[in-house]
Amino acid sequence: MNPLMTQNIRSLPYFIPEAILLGTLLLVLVCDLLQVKGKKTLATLPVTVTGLVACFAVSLNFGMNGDTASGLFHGMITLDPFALFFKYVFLGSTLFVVLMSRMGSDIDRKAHAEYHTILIAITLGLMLMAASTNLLMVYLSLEFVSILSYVAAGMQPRERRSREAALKYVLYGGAASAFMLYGMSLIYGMTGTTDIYLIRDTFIANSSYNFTLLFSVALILAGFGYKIAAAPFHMWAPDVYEGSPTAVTAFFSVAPKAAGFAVLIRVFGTWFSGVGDMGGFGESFTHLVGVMAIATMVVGNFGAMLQSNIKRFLAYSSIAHAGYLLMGIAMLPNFAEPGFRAILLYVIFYVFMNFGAFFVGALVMESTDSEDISAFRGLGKRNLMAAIVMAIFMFSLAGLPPLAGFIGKFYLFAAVIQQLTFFTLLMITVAIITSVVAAFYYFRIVRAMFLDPSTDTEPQPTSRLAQVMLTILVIPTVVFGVYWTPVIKVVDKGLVTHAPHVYETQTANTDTDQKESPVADLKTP
Amino acid sequence: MLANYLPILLFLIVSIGLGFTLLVAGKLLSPSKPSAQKNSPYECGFEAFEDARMKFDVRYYLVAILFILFDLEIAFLFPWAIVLDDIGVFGFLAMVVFLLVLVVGFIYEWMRGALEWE
Amino acid sequence: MFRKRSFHLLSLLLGAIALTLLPSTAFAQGGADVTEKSTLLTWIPFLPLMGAIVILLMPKRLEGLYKQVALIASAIPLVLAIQMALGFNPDIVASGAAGTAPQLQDYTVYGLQYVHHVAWIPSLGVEYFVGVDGISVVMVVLSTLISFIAILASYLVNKPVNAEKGYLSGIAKQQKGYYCLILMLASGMMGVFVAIDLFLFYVFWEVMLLPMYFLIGIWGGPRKEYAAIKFFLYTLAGSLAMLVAFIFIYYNSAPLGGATAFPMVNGETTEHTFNIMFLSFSSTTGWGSFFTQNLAWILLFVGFAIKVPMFPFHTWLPDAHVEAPTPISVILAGVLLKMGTYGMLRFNWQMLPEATLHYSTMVAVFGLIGILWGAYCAMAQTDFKRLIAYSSVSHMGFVLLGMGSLTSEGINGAVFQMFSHGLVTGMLFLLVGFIYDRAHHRNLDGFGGIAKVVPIYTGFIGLAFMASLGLPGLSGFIGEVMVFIGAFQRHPIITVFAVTSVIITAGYMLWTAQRIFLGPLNEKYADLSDMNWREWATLVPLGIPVIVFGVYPGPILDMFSGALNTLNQLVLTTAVVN
Repeated sequence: MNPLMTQNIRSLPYFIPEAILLGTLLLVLVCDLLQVKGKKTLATLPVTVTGLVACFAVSLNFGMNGDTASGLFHGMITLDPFALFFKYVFLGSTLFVVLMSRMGSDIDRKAHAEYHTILIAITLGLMLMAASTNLLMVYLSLEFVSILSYVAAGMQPRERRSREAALKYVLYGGAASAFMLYGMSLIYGMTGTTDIYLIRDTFIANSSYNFTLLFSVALILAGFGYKIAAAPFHMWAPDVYEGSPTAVTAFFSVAPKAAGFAVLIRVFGTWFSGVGDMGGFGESFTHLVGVMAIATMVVGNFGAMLQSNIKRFLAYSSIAHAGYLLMGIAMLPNFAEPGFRAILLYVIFYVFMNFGAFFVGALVMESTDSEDISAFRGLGKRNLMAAIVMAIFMFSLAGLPPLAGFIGKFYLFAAVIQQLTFFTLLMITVAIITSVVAAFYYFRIVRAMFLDPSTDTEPQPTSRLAQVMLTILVIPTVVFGVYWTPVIKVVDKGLVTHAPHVYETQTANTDTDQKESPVADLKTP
Repeated sequence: MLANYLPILLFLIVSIGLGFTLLVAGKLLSPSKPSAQKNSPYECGFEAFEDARMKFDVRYYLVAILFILFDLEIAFLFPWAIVLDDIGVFGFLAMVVFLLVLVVGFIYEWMRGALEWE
Repeated sequence: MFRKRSFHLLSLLLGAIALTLLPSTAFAQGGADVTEKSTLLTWIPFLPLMGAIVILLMPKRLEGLYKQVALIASAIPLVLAIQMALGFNPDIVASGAAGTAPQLQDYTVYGLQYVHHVAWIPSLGVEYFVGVDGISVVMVVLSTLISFIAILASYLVNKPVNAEKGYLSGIAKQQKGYYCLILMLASGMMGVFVAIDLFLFYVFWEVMLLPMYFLIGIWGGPRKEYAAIKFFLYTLAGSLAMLVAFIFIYYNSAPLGGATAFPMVNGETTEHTFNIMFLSFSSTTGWGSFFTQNLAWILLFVGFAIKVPMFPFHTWLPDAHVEAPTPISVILAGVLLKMGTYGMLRFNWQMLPEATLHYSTMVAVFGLIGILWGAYCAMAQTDFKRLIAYSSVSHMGFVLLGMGSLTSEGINGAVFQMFSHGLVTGMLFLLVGFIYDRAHHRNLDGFGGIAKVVPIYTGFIGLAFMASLGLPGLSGFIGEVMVFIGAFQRHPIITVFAVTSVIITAGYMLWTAQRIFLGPLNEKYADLSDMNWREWATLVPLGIPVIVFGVYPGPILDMFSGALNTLNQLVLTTAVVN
């Protein structure tokens, strides 16, 4: 058989998680269709949950067995521990959001199947994003996620704000993609390839760390920065977050952001970490990303201070967190690993605390029918447990020990302080000042819950399922703040990326080789 | 590497320069005598019925998007058909999966009434 | 009535059992020798936390027992701390440890006793490491004593509304939350004084912040929300600066004495360390580049100075004090302020001696400004509590001045002043609280001549005032005079100005006493009730040490003088070690 084809066939087993998602997606559609036609069939929620759990299990199995491979589908994607780490994050987030939106009422019950389809498809896109090793694939998966996100943002077609959110998302997204594509085409022009590892090799061979490269990196950053909502590409976030259904907003603030950082680490980490001084290019890169980080921290934190809408408030808070994480990327040319470790660690903690904050926020918005921060007033009397849990999430987001958020922040600060220059000092100063600002605005919620007088003291108990979900979120937030060695172990495992070895041999393989070791050329030695 | 782009740069300069020169020359040299007849929109010789900035039914867009989707699908099918000999059974199955996904989507939109005009 | 009595009996029983059992178990593990490892210092900070959890889990119908549990949970650490102090061997000091290779076989080389040291997060070099040396032993006793007194004092403010006698019911609401939070606060501050690991120290330091925010913010006075968030943001800014300095010090640590890595208690080694004793004596941290050391020093100093509070950062203190309920004020002034100066000794002095030598004059000058500024501001106050708050700023200035003098007398006087001020200012805030409970205001001009009505109260306040203004024979005098003797040797001019504050202090204290207690009786307060036995109970444990150690300061001075003289020598002779 054609060797090109054999390579594809042999890549397939490593694509099972994605294939499962694809199958689930189609199954959900078919079930929904039959339901519409009045036939008795499987409910879509169990199908969705089963599909996601199955996908998670298979991915986990790959991770446990160390069954990894790179250069899949002609170097388009890879299945390395790094990609697997993010796959867990995405699948967990989606699972959570599916359950969370079950409790809310802002998405039409009739549209739930469509909504599940879109969520699964976004997850598929995110998984591809984290696994892409080719600029083309990066772009395709990023667009895949974006286009579906536009639809998800508009899941409440009767709400004016939801429509506005979808439209704004499309417009900003289109512009950002255009910039990114331009940057990628410049890189392609410089190197003649779209494979990120070959690009790195070409950079090293030609030592082409010049202004053109910096310019294209800046353009690509525009595209990635849009996905992680970093200033100055953050403008869409507050409006989109406000307009989208709450569960979708929670999803947007976690999963695509994590994917954005996965791609940032994969692409820029491959190109620029561990290649030496690069004739001053490293410093320029640090300044470029560092300025972006500073701007994001300032915009996010000061912006959040001025908000009165809960969702906008959380949107700005998530912008701010992207700013802290960007500091880890900025340190990449000199000290890549501590920064990456801090980012991965932070992502795990962030999933728990941010979902927690959104979840309690959604409960409050649902019960008071108000999106204003004053809706939190008197929650300490109405539902003490929810208020305490929310306070824990707020403290964790503010980075106070002994909670998980502090540990994340500690590792990030440590990654930055490791190298002391004027610029890192500036970054850390801004980080400290904005952290104090952050504490101030997170405490507004705490104050509203416990300190402010309230007239409404009627108890509002939470449902059993909500209690279970809150427990699942709050326990790691507290426990990981005191003992996070297990998380560090997972993260250290997830930091491993595989570069595919020699490309030429893949097409020149003979059949005899394959019989002896079916995946020999896919595995990294 | 960058030197390879020199012809493109020259091309850009020449084309921009030429276009600009021609436009300016036309503006300067040609006689300009506008009249109501000359300025009215040209519509196959008749008078214009109404303003061109009218509202289109949103369903046009739906149809247009669906059309593009399946149009692109056809665009994939042509190269696939040509190399089908080389890519063998696996290539065939790959396209079947691809079409299956699209067909399920197509059935879905059909059943949900996206193709009904009213 | 019967039920109430049975509650008391039950709590007494529980307390008795706990008091007899726990110390013995704590010591049993360590044996009699204080240099052996023991879990004693883990019990002290974690018992209040356990108490908090117990209260949290208690059902609503046992509401009457919350305070008993809280009292027991704070009494046991006090007993343990006194036992620890009695068993403490002041001869074990860290002399000669500087420049040696890091080792974990013998903790006494670093002056540590009652060590409890276990692995926590080995990948980061973070360990759970507690112990005391001469600098912290007195502070541990002080913090447990003040916590106990504060919870006892909570009983007083904690009565249901009693219109005839006019008691306030400030804390009567949400008792569960109140006692949980005050115990967490106690836990945090006891932990700060025993932590010998930077990371652990930081966690304890921050853990204390949140309960304080809520205690002021929920149970405070009219402007409680403003005061609470102001306190919180000031302290957080300081502690973040501190955190950066910690990370910075961590990355600059490299072992001395021919060692290649720092040992950890689980047998592994670590490239950089959070161990305070290694950083102080066995690491190059203190002798890093000028820029490195100065930056770390300044960040740490700002972080601690906000807590002290030193002159430009002091504005949170009066607000926090005025709004906080009485027991919280006692804790705030009695222990929290000392954490700032303790931190400076432990970190700036001990870990960065070279920069300390460089900046010592600046510290003394800030001390002087604090002394004078606090005293002048106190003079201008009409609110009793605000006046005491400003006098605290002034008295903490003495501590800074003594530390900045870099003499044996000065630094010993500074730590003695920390201890003495904790007791005296605790008394003062309690006394202010008592009269506020009765009169519902603290305006100095609103009283007059009440000495005739409440003679015992007047007597106590007289004692506290005299101790505060430094009357010989009371503990305040010892600290101040030692600071002056020490500071004069090095900064004579600064000291001369500082001494003038004694007159100002005497001025405002006596003027205050005159306005409240002397002169014609304000008829409104003709039937003011005098102190009851519970109020006696809170004041006597503070008053006795004030008198005893004012006459005979030896036992306290002996505890820390060895360690402090070594520390002072370390700062003065850094160049030699280098």
